[in-house]
Amino acid sequence: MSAAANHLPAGFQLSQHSLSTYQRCKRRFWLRYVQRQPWPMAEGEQPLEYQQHLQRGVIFHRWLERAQLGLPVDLQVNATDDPLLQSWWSAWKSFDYALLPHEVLLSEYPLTIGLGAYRLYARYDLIALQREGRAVIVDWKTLQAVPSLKTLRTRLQTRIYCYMLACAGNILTQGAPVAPERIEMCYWFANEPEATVYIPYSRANLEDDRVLLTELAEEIAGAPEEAFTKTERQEYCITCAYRTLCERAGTSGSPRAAEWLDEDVDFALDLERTPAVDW
Amino acid sequence: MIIASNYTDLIETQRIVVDFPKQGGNGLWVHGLAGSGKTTALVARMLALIKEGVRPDQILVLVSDRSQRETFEQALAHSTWFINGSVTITTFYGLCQRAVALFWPLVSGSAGFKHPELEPTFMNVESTQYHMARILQPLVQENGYFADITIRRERLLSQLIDNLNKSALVGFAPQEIASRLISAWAGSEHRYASYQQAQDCAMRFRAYCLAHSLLDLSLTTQLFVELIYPSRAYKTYLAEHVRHLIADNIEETVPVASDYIAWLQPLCASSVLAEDEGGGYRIFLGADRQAARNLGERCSQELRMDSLPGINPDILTLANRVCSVMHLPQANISAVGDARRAVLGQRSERYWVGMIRWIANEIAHLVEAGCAPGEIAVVAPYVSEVMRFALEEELHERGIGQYLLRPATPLRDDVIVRAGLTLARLAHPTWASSEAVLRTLPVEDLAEMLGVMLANLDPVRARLLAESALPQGNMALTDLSGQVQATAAQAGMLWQRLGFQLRERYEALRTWLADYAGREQQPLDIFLSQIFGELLTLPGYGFYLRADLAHSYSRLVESALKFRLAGSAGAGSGGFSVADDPGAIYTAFVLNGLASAEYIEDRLDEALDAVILAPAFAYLTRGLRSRYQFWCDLRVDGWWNRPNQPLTQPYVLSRAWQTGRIWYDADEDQARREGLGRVLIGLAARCSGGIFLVSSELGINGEEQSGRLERILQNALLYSQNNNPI
Ligand code: SF4
Repeated sequence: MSAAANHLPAGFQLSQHSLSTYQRCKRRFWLRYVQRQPWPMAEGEQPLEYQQHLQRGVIFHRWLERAQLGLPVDLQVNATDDPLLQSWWSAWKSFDYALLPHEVLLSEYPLTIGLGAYRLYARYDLIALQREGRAVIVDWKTLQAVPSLKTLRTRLQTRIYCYMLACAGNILTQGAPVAPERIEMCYWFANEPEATVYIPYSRANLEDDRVLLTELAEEIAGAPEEAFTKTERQEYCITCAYRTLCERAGTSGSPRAAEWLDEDVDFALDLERTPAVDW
Repeated sequence: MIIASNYTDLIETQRIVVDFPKQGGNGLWVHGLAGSGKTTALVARMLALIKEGVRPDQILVLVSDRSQRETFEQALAHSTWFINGSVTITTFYGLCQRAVALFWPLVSGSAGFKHPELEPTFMNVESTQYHMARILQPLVQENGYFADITIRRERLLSQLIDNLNKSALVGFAPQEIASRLISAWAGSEHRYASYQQAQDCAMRFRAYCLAHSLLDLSLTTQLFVELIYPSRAYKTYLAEHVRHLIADNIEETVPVASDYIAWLQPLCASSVLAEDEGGGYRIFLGADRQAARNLGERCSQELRMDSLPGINPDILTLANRVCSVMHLPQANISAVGDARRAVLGQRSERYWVGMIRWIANEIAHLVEAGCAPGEIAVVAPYVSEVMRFALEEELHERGIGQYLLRPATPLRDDVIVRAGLTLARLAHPTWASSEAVLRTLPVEDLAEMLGVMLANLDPVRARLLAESALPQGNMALTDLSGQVQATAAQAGMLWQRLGFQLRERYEALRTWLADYAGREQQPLDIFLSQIFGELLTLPGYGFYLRADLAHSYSRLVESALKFRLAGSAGAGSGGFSVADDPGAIYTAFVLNGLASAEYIEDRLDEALDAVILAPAFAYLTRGLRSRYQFWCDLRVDGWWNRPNQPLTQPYVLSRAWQTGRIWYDADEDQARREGLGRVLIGLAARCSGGIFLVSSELGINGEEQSGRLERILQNALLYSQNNNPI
């Protein structure tokens, strides 16, 4: 691994979202994750709805975390007047936990591993594992549309989450590493729970992902600022908050808002862990 | 700070911290001066724990503020070679807030919330101030509350909020605020009524929060302390989440945080607590050095870090001499230096601007000699806008940048914030009838907005345009397209002077606002985002490709959003009424100067390599260190006096205060001297190269200044010169 180019400090934190962004648009990666450039333009076409969706995602994840801890949640759940949130919740109630291993169950679990000169971070919605058996990563998705199985298999999130668990799972088992063959990624969709998929992982996947992620990190490390160019796939620009900064405001086509929404829900969840008051 | 990458780079005492047993529930108390290497040792221990196989998420690092959190995070970032997992690095309040959000179902029913079924809304500083203001306003206007107190409204609000915070952070019932203040008050009984009124405001505010599921800092903390951490569910949760505790700067923690640490220690496999001797600067925020010291003394082992790798003994000796002159305890240092060597330059100018110029010249010499600007700090008791501007200009002329570090920036002080709100007013003509401050739009405000929002418009032309554009009658920009007969002639002459290109841009702005005013109205934050995206970032407008200007605007959008969310928490049953427009309320609130907040973006960006200008408090509490410090405005009383706080009292509302005692002038004097001594030792411990002492006979407004601190410093130096034992 080459040393990081001087614009990105050693130890810089990458994540599945920042790397997915990098794959889709290097410029957005640069602006959002390196420069942390605020550009307060609405991300979606319906900003109020977009905000409500973000908020809904945060509350839903909070409820799940509480339920996971065995806290009573019915009072708050029954009181919501948000039909979508209600339907997500009743959908989740039929999720079959019996299909999961249950020796170790960790919700909203943050994990970081080294990736060359950088760090790779992920916050898992749920990790369920048996010390010597299966290890299932569950991701509660509140996306409107369910991606195809092929998309999910090749999705950077699948690759990174499984890879990281294979690399660092020993800290959860307190000893034995989690062999890649034991790992599965489960995507559950709040809007279509019957579309739940389990994607197995393997040693070959692990090796492929190691190469991919290492190459990505090296590419980022070696790239000068000018290499963080605007995407050629302008459909991403339609709902991107930076579209005026990039002078892509007039782009037409079919928007890919869902891509950024997923990223923003995750952002909001991490932000929720940062209190507004410094004490 | 220096982070030792290697065990062998550590000094002996630091290795003791790293090697301290990691099993068996032992606690180690480490103390020493700032710069003695405590944090480096704690960081090394954190890394060692992980290296030895401890699950990182089972390490809890408690820090006193976000800048300190960054220190630990940076250390993790630089240790990629073995770190897997994420350490929980948080402030005590961060811990409270996270726990309350998570364990909410456990407390919402029993804590007295009117709607336990609702999710909590955590308030930021602005929202808390706003809701307190809402409670206060009718009491002032109709009931004559605080009629005897002459104080600006924002300071009144912050003291009322402060009382509630103190009750939660110190751990006494909020109902006791007035009785504590009254029993210690040595002055006239007239003050009692104000204390009772402050009590009433606190209780009304608390009731309001309980009615609307709003959580300010005090309620969040109280819920955590009284209901969550004593619960079995939380203890079970902790068993999974915390095995090792590392707490830095415990002298800056509040008493209930010390209680929590004491409770947590026996549940952990190990704990290490570090105390900065001489610290405890956040006393006004509830920090309690004695509670922290008690905590340390209960640990099974104690370690004093007495080697001073980052400390210049000459500067510390000077600070010690000052303490000696003031009959105060001195910093405990092994090596005594020469106080005279600490001072690299001294100057007392007649005029304040002369002082600023002298500082700028000296800084320029240091930079010429190879010192990086970022290694220089200018420290004053407080920093006004005038000071920021004057020094910035002087430094700018010398090609040097300046970075202002202030604990909180009033939103109204930011020109981009003001310009954004002027736009909002023009887009919402109905606001003009809602709040007094929104009734008229001064031409200066309009000129300022046009200067910001239209690119390349200098102040003179902006003023000219504003005079013609100023709304007549209703709150809408004047049509200067030339198509309205009444203004056609005036418009023609105007554009001839200003240039016809500008007409197009102005008209586009005007019609955008007029169109918006005719549409269904959006919340203020959405409006600001929309006009930003649809107009202000296009060619010819102020934010076109101006990434640098977007920070302030973004801060405004974020603040308006949080305000709306906090206000709408009780909508319908309280909070904003249906008739209220949160945007109007927010705008008036900011323009009245009542909103101030600190954002993460305000953090020092080391990459800037600029001279730091900071009030002493901000400098000390952000853990900064410099090669050279300028202690300036030495004749200003602010070095001595604490802010006038007629409705609260940090010492009386502390845990150490004995009920029934009276706070006399002698107590006040002692507290001031001790405070000053702590500040000087703190500054001295954070400076490696040398200091410059600077003052002016006349203050910023031309008033004579007393120069008490300057005299003491001169005495201290004189004693050193005469080699006089003190
Ligand atoms: S607007 Fe387009 S090019 Fe610019 S950052 Fe967004 S996606 Fe990338």
